[in-house]
Amino acid sequence: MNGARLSRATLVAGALAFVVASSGAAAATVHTVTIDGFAFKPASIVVKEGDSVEWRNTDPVPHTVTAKDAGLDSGEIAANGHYRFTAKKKGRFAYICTLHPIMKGELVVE
Amino acid sequence: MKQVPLVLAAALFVAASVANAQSGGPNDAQIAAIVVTANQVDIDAGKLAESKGKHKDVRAFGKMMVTDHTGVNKSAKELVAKLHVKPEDNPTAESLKKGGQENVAHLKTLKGDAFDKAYIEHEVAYHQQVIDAMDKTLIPSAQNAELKALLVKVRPAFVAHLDHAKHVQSELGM
Repeated sequence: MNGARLSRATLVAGALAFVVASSGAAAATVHTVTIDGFAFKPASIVVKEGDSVEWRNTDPVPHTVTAKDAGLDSGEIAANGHYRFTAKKKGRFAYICTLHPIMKGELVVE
Repeated sequence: MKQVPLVLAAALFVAASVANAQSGGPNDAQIAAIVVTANQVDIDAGKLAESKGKHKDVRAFGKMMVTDHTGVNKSAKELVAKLHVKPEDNPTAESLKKGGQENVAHLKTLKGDAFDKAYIEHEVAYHQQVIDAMDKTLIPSAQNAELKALLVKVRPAFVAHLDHAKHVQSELGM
């Protein structure tokens, strides 16, 4: 192996390691809840304060994610749309879809 | 007042009979036509309730029926196009259509509380019977896995609507 090739390989490896390290450091924790078949999956989710939760609506109809006491109100999330919320308030919050109140979920912020 | 649900019951009874007569149930093309018609029927009644309902809960329910069943129909139509299935007319779809037209015609003759009562009562009966038809005939008969999956996925919509309709019914003391 000649020196030039070795140093290039080292550089590439170094760059890759840097990218992995920085993306690891920058990544905020984003939790995902899938809305599927008129249900929140998982129905209950526990997150840390400052984490984000993304609800992904896979149903062909609009839904909402609403817990007024948590400051959470997505408005209508269109079919195949999503909504992201950053949890800033600790507590245990029951949320519903206001369009279909039969749909219930729970968000626990620690 | 009980006449409309009876027509519907007859239509869905035909669905069950078709299933029995053919031993394999309706085919996928027939199921596609039944699903699209079942949604369309409820969209038409919902549009009427949106404009004619006396109580705001009834108008809101009608609006939700239009939105949700339009959404379900859109995904059903996209799937059948993708699968190259051409919805095939059949006695069940025809009866559903006829029952829907009769329901709308009947509702048009009513006003105020009488309209709200008749509309919601029909919605409760309709959704219950569509759920029964899905469970007993449509889902078990669907051959294509994606069509079956779509039926399973949208079934909870009918359950949520049934629950909501019953809630409106009790709230309005009907």
